[in-house]
Amino acid sequence: MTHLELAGLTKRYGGVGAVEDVSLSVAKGEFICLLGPSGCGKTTTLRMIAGFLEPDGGEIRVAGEVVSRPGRSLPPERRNMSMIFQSYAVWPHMTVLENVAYGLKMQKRPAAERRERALAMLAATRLTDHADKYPAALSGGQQQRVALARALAPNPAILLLDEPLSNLDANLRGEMRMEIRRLHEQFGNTSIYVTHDQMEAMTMADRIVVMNGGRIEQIGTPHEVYDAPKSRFVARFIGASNVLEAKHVGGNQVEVAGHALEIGRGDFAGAGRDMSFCVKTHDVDLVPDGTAHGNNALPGVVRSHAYLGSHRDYIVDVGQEMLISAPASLDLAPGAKVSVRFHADRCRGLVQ
Amino acid sequence: MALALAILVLLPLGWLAATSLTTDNAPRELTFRHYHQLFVDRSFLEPFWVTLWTSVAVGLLCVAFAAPMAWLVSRTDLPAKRLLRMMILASFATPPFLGAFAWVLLGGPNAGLVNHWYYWITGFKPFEAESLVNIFSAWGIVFVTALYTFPYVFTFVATSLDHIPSDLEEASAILGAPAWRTAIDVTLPLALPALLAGFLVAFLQSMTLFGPAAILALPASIDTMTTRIWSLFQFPPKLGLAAAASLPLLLITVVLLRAQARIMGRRGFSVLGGKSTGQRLLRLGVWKPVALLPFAFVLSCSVLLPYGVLAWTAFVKNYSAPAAGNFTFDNWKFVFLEFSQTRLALTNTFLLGVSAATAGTLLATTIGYLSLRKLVWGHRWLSFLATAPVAIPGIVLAVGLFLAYTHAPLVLYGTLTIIFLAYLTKEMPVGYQQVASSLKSVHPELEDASRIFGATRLRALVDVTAPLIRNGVIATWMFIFIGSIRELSATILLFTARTKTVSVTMFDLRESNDWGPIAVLSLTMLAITFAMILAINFFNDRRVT
Amino acid sequence: MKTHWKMTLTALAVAMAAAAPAAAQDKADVAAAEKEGKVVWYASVDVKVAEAIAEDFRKAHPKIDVEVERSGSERVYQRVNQEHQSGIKHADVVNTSDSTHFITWKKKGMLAKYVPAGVDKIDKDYRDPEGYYATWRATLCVMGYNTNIVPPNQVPKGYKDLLDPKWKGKLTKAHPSYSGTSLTGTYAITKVLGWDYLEKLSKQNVQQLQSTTATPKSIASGERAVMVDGNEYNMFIEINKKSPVKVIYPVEGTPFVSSPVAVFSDAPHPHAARLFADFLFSQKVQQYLVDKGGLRSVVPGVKDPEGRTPLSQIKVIPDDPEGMLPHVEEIKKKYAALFGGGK
Repeated sequence: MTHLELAGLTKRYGGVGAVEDVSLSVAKGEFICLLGPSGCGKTTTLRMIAGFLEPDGGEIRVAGEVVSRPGRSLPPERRNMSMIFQSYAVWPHMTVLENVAYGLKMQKRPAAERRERALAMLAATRLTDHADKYPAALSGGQQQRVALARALAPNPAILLLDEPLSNLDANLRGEMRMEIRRLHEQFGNTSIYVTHDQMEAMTMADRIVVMNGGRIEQIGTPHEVYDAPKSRFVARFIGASNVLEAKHVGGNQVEVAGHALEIGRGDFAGAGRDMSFCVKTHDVDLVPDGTAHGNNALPGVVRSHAYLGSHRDYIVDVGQEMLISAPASLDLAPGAKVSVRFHADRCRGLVQ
Repeated sequence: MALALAILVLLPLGWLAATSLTTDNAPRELTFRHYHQLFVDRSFLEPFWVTLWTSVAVGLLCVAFAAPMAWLVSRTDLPAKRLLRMMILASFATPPFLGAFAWVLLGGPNAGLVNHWYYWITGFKPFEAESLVNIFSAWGIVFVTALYTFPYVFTFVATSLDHIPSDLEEASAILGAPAWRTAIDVTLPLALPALLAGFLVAFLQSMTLFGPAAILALPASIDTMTTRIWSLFQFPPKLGLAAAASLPLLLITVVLLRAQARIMGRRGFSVLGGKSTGQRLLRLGVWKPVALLPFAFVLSCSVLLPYGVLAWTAFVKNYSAPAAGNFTFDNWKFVFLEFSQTRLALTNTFLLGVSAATAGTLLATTIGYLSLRKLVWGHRWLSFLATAPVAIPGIVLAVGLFLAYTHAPLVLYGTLTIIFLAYLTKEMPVGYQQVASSLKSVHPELEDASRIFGATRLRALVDVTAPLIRNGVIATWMFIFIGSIRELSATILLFTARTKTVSVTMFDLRESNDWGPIAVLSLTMLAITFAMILAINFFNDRRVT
Repeated sequence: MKTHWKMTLTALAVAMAAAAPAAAQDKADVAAAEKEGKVVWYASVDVKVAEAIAEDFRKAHPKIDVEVERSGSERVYQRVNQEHQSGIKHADVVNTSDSTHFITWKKKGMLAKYVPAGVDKIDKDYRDPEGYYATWRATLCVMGYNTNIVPPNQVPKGYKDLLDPKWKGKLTKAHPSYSGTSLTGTYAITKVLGWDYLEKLSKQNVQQLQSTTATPKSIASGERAVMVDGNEYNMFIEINKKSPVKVIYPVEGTPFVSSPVAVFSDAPHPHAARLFADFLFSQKVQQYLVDKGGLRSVVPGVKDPEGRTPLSQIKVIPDDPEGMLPHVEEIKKKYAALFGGGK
């Protein structure tokens, strides 16, 4: 059942489109990640959903009701949403408990109920001991949990999260990812999560919306986006991919620097046209002997390598530079001639 | 809002320009006569020259003292730093005209106490030997103005030194440079923008101050631009000339402030990001007493001696007579029980202080909120207008206000309102910057958070923004209050008998050499000022971070 | 002569028109004054003397407050005119030591015709024949010196002695742009000794103060040794305070300075103003002025205290407001050119 719907959503600043024609349907209880580099329009989209910004085009519907359209936008306070901010935005002049109970206060719930529910949220976020402290006395991770508890307390229909983990250090981030996902499963809010970190998106989202230049590049489950990127941008952004330039010969055949390769999946440009294909760094074989080409392989030269314990990363020049993850046992010096062998079913043709 | 602000700032300036270009009497015609006179009349050229060279001298003197002092405080293990900084704050808080009063008592060539001591020590006789200091001179103005302006330069330089990453200096030290070499080769060039900016501010202060010039230079028959403009205002006022004479001051201020902004912006604090911890302090060792000498000298001259002489004068019959049998409460009795202007002046000053502070804080807060949160069209203009009056010297503003509000439809001359407008305009930049800095420290997301949880904009303001900027707002109120109760440069042109303030009353008492009552009023003003500063510190310490 | 007549007539007409509502009053109405509750007095007399008189009046009329606005005569004149021009009605009663002010104000119709009780008995030299103002106090614009600094055998006898190089840097003088007494005194000096004298004096490095109430304080504190002009009454006040100063009556003559009082025609408290004017001319206040204020009184029946040189024994240069009036701006301007300050 569609809960939140964006239809042709557009926002321009001084004629420049920050968000262009974004359409998206979100089911009730779904966890959606808006993923993209900074400036891709993801935060603008989120702030339009929240009601802080008014769209210049298109509309936003919640449960079928229009909440935003040009010239008529429901203010944030009347949307029954919650939000977690990049800066935590925990109010320094209120205790942890007061922070968490604020949304309930705005809903005019009785004091006793407010307290009970706020304490329950603190328990859920393991902050019970800190209820009466002021936020300044808490660590960054604890403050973010306060923000989380505060956002969940009013049981919002929709929970918005704006890069909530970007100010935390790496280990804490992993822990908080789990926490957020756990709480999502516990409370089942429809959640829109904005991030530029594909790891966060992959581990938390039901579906990922990859955005670039104000437009949606691809919508799909983490598996779809990872395994079947629809564009060069998505392939590069999701990471661990090589995007190679090629020419479509016909059928499943492409040509790279005079060598024919077979591509198993994806889109094809049409015979004679330039196209690309992507392949994960660990989905190609690095063959030490530089003569094994012909068998869906390209000749190349090792430029550099890095030993990473579990494997080795090689930069190999096949006319274009490729990053290849090879077994740690394979030790090749820079300058060594190699063959790079492709598996047709792991290669995906890209036209966009 | 923007319109009101625009009128507040632009109307006086418009009148200033118009009046300077028209004849004084009907039929009003376009004329360049006033400007012409400005350039040919010796009675303008001389004050202009005096103003220029004394201001340059003040700037240089300030830099010469403040820079090494700031370096000593920031880079060495100088003792009693906290006390020294507090005393520098005290010189900062002392109204310059009050310092000038005190220095008349200290540095009058024959009766001045400093000269008394000098004669006593040397055995010379007054009138037979040259006095040690003659405060009634152009150098007297330079000296006194520099005493109360150097805290600006000190603060600029000290802040910039605190923000110079210590590794830059350590890099020089590790290459074998001795401490003094590092100071000159590395620290000095890095602190240069602050020095330059400090110089410009000192120059501008000196150029636009009325008090010290009027108190010290007039008895020596020297005129500066401010005293000249003031005398043009004596009846029958020569308004066209006064307006024309004001514009050079305005122009110089605008140009120099722009220069200062550029200097600070390009190489200033913003570039030198602040790693201020772990600063290696140079050990002074046996040089400690020597290093304390400049502080002892400057702070004695700016705080200890003036406060001392004012306290002495307030309690004696004749300040230059020996202590025996000289003690009296008469001055206090006179000021607070007999002098009928005291109550009027105190009431006016208090009313003006409270209303300017309240209106100024409200206006600054509203403008700050609207412009920083970009809530209205033209928010950039709002913040520009709110900070623009910083470029209008007090006396120039007063000329403009006088011209603007002695005409229909708004005749405000002779009311407290016109003085209120002067204070409001003059203090707006300070207030705006104060409020803006507290508003900037409140992340917009704090407000957004409140709204998404169901609070209206107003509710979010009340629940979140207001409590978070409260201390900043209270401090702003007090800053404006302090600035208002000590104002002289603008008030001197705008007051009438009914609208006298304490500062003007003191100025009137000066004309008949009634030093006892002046000392009493000075101490009263200082007491109020320091009470306010303590309160500000109290609120700032409790500021939620 | 003809223009003179014309001017007088016009002035008269203006004055009569302005004073019309109050003209009927020739006696102060105490009840009405109390209803007004306040009187504002602009004065150039020493601030402590002024405040003492005000306090005395408050005691006599507890329901009427007195607001004293003290400044130098010329400053009072400027403020009155500035306020008048701007339509501000604030001052009720005025006193300055520059009689020309009263001539000007009378011409402009700014004064009320009112003869306070007792003023009709004053010598007619000291009051306006039409009853617009009268000399409330008088002082001499004297020289003086500090007895600690100047040995008895070196005391200057008159103005001319001050040109001796030994007085360089030791003199103090008030400013005619600020002080009415100094204006009158300076005018008298120019009449007796010429501008030539002042030009030479200006080379003596004179401390230029504003008020003739300030110069006696300057020599009392020892800031300067000899005062070129100052109020005789301030000298008496200093002597009473045991300050080391003595008065010099210059051999060339001592300028006599009348200091009139008048009530403004647009006084916001007209009844209180008249009551206060009566009070100012009362024997009690006049005797106070003489005894405590060190002033001279022209009101019959007031006695000089013992030890004070009687007026009759001093060579006095009488003031001549009518003669001085056309020269006022010129004196101020020429003086400022020599000594600086003012305009």
